[in-house]
Amino acid sequence: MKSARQVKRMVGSARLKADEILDARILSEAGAALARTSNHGPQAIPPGPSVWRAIMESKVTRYSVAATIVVAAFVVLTNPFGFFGSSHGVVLGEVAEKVGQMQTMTHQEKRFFYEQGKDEPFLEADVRKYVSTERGVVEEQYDRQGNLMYRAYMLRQERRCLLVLPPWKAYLDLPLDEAVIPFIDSVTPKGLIDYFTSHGCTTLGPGRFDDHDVEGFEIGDLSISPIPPQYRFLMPFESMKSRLWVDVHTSLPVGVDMEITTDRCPLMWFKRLRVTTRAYDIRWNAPIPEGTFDPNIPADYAPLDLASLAPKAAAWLGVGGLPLGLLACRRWRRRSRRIRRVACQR
Amino acid sequence: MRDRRLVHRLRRGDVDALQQIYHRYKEDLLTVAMSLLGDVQGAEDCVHDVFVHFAEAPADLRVNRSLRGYLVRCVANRAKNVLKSRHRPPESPIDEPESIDCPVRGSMASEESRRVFEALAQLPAEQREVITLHLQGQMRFREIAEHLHLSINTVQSRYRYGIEKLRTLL
Repeated sequence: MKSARQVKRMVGSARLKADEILDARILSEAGAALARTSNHGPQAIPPGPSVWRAIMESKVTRYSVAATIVVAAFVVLTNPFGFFGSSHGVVLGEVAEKVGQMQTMTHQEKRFFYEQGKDEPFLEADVRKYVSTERGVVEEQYDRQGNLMYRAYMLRQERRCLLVLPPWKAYLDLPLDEAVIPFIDSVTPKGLIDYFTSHGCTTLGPGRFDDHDVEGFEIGDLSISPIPPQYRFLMPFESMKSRLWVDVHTSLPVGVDMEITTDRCPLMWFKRLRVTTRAYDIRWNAPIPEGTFDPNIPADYAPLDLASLAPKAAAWLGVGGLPLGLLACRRWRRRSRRIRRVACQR
Repeated sequence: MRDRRLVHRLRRGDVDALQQIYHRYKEDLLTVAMSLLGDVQGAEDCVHDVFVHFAEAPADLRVNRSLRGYLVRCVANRAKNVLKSRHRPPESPIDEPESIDCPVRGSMASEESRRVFEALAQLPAEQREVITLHLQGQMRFREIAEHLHLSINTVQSRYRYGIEKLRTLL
């Protein structure tokens, strides 16, 4: 039997250590609460487990929400309205002109999400995308069983980005400030042409895509990440490579392949990701079903509070700072452990 | 002194102060919550709730002595409420999301700490509370007595009985 002194020492030195996910969860919600209070005075906290908690509960939900966040990038990057450089001769000139005349576009897409270094994707998804020059972009992502994972709206007129998550009965409504409006404008064909025209791309030469004779073009410049800086911490890109395939007979894009790698981020449990996508079945000037661009959020859906992370007041929360801080802390801990081990060996 | 300055900055809505306070006391608070509640998820929720409430009303903060003691007391109160609600039947079932393939738990404890938490969970709640507040919350018996509205003798006897029981459990 242990002595009373030993017992007291054991109890006094027992520790439960917080991990980075808990840090991110508490700091984000407490920070948002402080920001709310500073702006609007104290407010009642809704009882019960938070949506954030529900999302962080399992790998699957966490990954899926992170995948949803990255939509903001894919909506623009895998959009075949874009990709035109002025220095690629007749083909791209024609493509730019033709695409500029189109009013709508629909296409399908396959997406695979991998943890870097692993061969098997943790998430496979099918996507349907609707683009209108007037209204913006709507995309729906389905899992392998055909269940709707989310519907994302990038509404140009309303200047609003809305992510609706039926599996968790939640939605994320991003308040788009002045800095973000060019992002929405870039979703239009003209905007995308302007966007990509300013960045040169490499010609890949002739090839085949599905049943089309195509000409390929590649762009791999990370500096053109379309995610506004205040949201980049949600999905920090490390590298990005996109290939556009243009039908040589019609001079219209018929496919886009893309590979993106990301750095660690809180939503991904600080794992690095690799995401590959393939857009196909592109239909130009295709009719878009009525009501597609009218968001319909059921009354029982809860708002996700990630938007409150965006304002300047919450910049410390992880908008760059937190993940870096945690990584630095981790490295520091690892280094001190190593130093201690060496000291002990001596 | 540093805590007071942090609280002063927090009252003015300084998020950096909140972050510093969190990082300074998070482990102490998690440990106290874990000892009182006996499960990691409950402890995480408890500390989460305390910090969110803490940030919600910084102007109302009354930190007379130490900030640490104040937060420990908040965690102890919150844990007590949680324990009370656990004894009541739930009013409506809460839809907990399905936990799939989640081998990594959020917070971590060493093997010895785990044994301590298990042993504490076997004590009567009154003894566990006093031991936790004294040894982990670093509160004096007098402060615990004030906090629990008990006499100091009662607090000390609960502590003694609890330690005796822990000697057999550990």
